[in-house]
Amino acid sequence: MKIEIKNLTVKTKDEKEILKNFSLTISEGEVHAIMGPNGTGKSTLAKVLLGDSAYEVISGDILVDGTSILDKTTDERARMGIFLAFQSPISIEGVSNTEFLKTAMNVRREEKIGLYPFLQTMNQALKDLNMDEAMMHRSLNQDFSGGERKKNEILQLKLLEPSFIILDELDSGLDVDSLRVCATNIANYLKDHPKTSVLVITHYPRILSYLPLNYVHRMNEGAIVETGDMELAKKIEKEGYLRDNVLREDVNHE
Amino acid sequence: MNKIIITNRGVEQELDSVLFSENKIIFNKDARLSLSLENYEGSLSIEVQEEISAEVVLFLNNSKVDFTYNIKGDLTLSSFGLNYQGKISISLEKEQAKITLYSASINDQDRKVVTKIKHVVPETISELVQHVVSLKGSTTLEVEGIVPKSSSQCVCKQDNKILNFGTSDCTILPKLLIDNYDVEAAHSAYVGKFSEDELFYLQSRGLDEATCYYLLLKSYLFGKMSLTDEEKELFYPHIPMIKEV
Repeated sequence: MKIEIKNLTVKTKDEKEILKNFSLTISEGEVHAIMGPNGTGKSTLAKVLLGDSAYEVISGDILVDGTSILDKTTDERARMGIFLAFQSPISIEGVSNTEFLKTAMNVRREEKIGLYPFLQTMNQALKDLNMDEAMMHRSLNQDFSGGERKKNEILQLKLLEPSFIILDELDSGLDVDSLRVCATNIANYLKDHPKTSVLVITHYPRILSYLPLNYVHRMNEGAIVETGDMELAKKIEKEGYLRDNVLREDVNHE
Repeated sequence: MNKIIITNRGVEQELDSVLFSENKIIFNKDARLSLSLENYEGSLSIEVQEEISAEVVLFLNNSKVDFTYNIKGDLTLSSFGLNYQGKISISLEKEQAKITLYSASINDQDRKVVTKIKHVVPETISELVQHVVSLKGSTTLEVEGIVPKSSSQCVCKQDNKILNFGTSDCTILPKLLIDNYDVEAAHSAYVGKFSEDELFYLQSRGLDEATCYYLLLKSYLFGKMSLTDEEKELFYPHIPMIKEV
C-alpha cells in the first residue's frame, strides 16, 4: 500500500494546531520510522491517518494508492487495510478477545470465517507470540499487563492482515524479550506480505534493528525536519532532541 | 435448577433447592435461582441464610417491584431490567455476610430506582454496580450505603453509571452514611456517553459504529454477570442498536 501525506495541517477540537504542513510518502513495501520529542505530533499523525474524529484536517490530503481517504470513516480506513497498533490499547470488560477478533476478521471478509479455521489461525498466532491460549477467553485487554496488551496488538495485526501498519510506540512497556518477539513477528509478517508498508513511531532504535528499515525521520513541532537512515536513529538516541530546542531558541531570538 | 416466573397472570415455578411462598424466597442451601418478573407490580423479599452461598439472576421486564434482601450468607445478584422502577432494601445481618449486586437496566421512560444498603453488623461487604442505558426519559438513581458506628471493618462500594442517549436529564444521587473510621468505602458516579477512545479503538479494527455500540453496550450491561446460555439468549436481544448518537 502506498501512503502519501501531502501538506497536512491538523488541529484539535480546542483549536491547537498539531501537524503543520506535514508531508511524507511511504511507498509500497517501505518501512519508515518517525522519532521526535514528546508532544511533537507523532501519535496525532497515527490517529489522523485512521480518521480519529478528535482531530480536524485543516488543509492537505492523505492518499492511499493515489486516492484520497479524507472522506472515509475510521472503520472504512481499517477495512481498506490500515492498522494502528496503539500506544495504550484500551480494555473492554465483557467482550472476549476471541469474540472481538472473530468479529473484526469477519467484517473484512465476504464469507465469514468458520470456527475451526479461526481457532487454527489464532492458536498459531498465539504460539508465535508466546502468548497463553487462556488469554483469548479473557475480556479484551482486561487485566493484561502492558506487555501483554502490546502483544495482543500484534496478534490482531497478524490475524487482520493489514497492508499499512502504524506502530505507535510499540516498544514502550515491553521488556527486551517481548520486544524481540513482537518485532520478529512483524518482520516475518513483512516477509510474507512484501507489499505491506510500515510507519514506526518510536523513541529508541532497538525496535528498528529488527525491521527492514528504509528511512528514519526526525519530527519536531508538527513537521519532519530531518530524514536519514538507521544512523540518524542512533544519533538521536545518543544526542537526544536538545539541539531542536537550541534551534528553536535561536529562531525565537532572531 | 430453580426457576420462578411471576407475571400479572400468576406464578410458574420449578424449584429444587429454594423455598418460595407468599412473595418470599428463602435460600437455606447453596443454590442458583433464575427469577423473571414481567409486567408485575408488587414486592418481594429474598433471604439468604447463614453460611449459604446464593446466586440470583433476575429479569425485570416492565415491572415495578420493591425488593427486600435479608442477607446472612453470600448473595451474588445479577439483575437486568427493562424500564424497571422500585426500591431495593438490602440488610446485611451476620458477620461475613456479603452482597455483590450487578444491575443493568435499559429505560425508554422516566424511571427511578432507590437502593439502600445497611450494614447491620460488623465485617459485612457490599459491592454494588448499577449500569443504566437511558434511551428516552429521565433516569434517577438514588443510592445509599449505611454503616453505623457499631459496624466496624465493613466494605461498602458503589459504582453507578448512566449512559444517556436521550435528551432528558439523568441523575445519580449517591450517599454514603458512614459512622465508623475503619470502613473501606468507595463511590463512583458517571452520567454521560461512551468514551470516544473506546469507539475509536474498536472502529480502528474495522467494526462499524453499530457493531461497536453493540459490543460496548453488551460489555457495559452484562460484562460482570455470569450468565447461562439461556439467560444470554433472553437478555442480549434487548441490547439496543444505536447508530448515531
